[in-house]
Amino acid sequence: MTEADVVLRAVGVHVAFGGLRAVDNVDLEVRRGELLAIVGPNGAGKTTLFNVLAGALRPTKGSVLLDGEDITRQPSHRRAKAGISRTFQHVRPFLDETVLRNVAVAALANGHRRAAADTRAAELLERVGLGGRLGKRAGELGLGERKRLELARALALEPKVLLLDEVMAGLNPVEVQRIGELLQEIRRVTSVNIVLIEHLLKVVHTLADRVVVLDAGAVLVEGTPAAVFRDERVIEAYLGRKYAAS
Amino acid sequence: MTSSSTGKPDTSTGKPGTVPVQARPGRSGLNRTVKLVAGALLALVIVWIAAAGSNHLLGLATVALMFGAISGAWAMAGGLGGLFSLGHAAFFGIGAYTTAFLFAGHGVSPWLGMVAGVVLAAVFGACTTWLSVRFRVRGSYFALVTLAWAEMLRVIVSNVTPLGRSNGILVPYKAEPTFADLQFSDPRAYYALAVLYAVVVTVIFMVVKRTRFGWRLSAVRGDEDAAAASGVDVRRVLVAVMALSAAVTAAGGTLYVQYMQFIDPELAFSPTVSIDIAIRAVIGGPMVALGPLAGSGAMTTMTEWLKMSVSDSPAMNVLLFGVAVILAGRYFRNGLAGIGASALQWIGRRKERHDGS
Repeated sequence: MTEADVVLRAVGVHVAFGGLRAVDNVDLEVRRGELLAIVGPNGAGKTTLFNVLAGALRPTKGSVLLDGEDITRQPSHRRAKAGISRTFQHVRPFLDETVLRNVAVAALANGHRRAAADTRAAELLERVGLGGRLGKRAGELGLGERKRLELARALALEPKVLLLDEVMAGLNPVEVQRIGELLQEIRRVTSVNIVLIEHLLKVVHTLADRVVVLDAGAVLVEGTPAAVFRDERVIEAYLGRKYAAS
Repeated sequence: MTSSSTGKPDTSTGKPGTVPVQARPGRSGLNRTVKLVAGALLALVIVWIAAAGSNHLLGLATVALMFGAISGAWAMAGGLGGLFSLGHAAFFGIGAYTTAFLFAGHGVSPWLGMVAGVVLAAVFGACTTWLSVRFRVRGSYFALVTLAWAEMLRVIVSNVTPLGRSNGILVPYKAEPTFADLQFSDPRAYYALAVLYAVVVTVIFMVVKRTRFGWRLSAVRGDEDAAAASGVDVRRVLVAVMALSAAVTAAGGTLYVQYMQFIDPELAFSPTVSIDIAIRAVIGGPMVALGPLAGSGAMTTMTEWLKMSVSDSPAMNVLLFGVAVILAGRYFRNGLAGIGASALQWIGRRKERHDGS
């Protein structure tokens, strides 16, 4: 693995909230072309780590590198332009805006003018299956649609790395299936790298090339999905010592 | 997956004009008609006052227009930017005092005074807003901080001798005023100036709302974190919109002081002025270009009507305005403009049902 194969790298990242160590000395690399899943029990520090990668949170120690360049001190909007885009665990569309505008405003970040941004947004919304909803207020959409809207908004930045924080959570099996297919199509069509926080292990199994398991703020195990989910330490972290033994 | 989604990678730059018209907000036929009708009505009233109004009416209308336009400047930050300021008297006062000080004390043309006031106010607005955004002061706290800044200026100016302390500055009226003095013998000239100012403010508002800056602004208003994640520099957008709002407000301060020919710390910086500026937009609709002007007209009309018919007591006015603002806050979030839009939607629905049956 040479340095050129790593798109995004976190080195020795610490995040402390008062006395609580939410993220504890985490090293992470996102390799070119892969889909990386981050899993772990609630409170393991997954979203906190995401916030550090996306620039919403400055780490107490450690650094973040995008294509070898140190971006630790760059604020969110600069990183969004530089190629890191994210969705939120609890969806955050601009509720009073139309579906089209939600995505078009992100397309402005690439220097598009308004008409071009609208066109670009319409294409992406078509791709995520919201082509018939352009003029609706985002507040009128259901949860599944909002998740796809956020996905389109994140794609409008034409990112190098797409950080998806539980895009499947709260969705029914049909919608989960749909987003899974969508992610696979995005990978086929673009060169974006995807990092996924996900609780549905079945989804992780089918989509991910590599899995990183976080527990209590630290990396517990990493490897292929098959290897990781057989690992005793992972079973123990999820289900407790009793099950791990059996 | 739809057929068009099987396209090539994300390299397309997009061609304009391929998005369905109805997908663009604010472009629906009904909405447009309402705006045109409202604008035409307003224009009609303005022309009628100029042609047939008494001097008293003309004076009222001049002040209503000036403050309506200043309220429009407020609405750029308070409406479009979501920065609810209760300190716009600071910018108004900076404009008025800078002009009066330079004109009365040093004979500098009010037009130059206006430029100086505009620059000062923009810098003051940018700095104070930068501080609030930097330290994440928002919502009610933001409003309180702006109030405090304006109060600070009021106290300072009340104690500075070159600015006349609490006596204020009397603007000398030239025997034969020229255009350069921004003074006129015909009240209609002030009125025309107020109309011009209102038109300029309205146009700026519409431009701000429709440009990319306006898109970013409304994203920031909706959700600052999501806006930042969408590549919007939140701090820059908010500082910029307040600087603009402050600049336009200060220009109104210049016009006002040349018209009234007097300014003192109370008239310029008191919280009453800040509230007056904000309230006209809130009543009229802070998200619509003509909202603040309509609100200003309604407010001036109501004040005068109350004076004549109900009571001369200012307490009565304040009481009734309180009720109006509470009603606007509870039922008509977008003020008069919102009421108009709801009424039209209601008519539209009725017509649809009627046509359908």
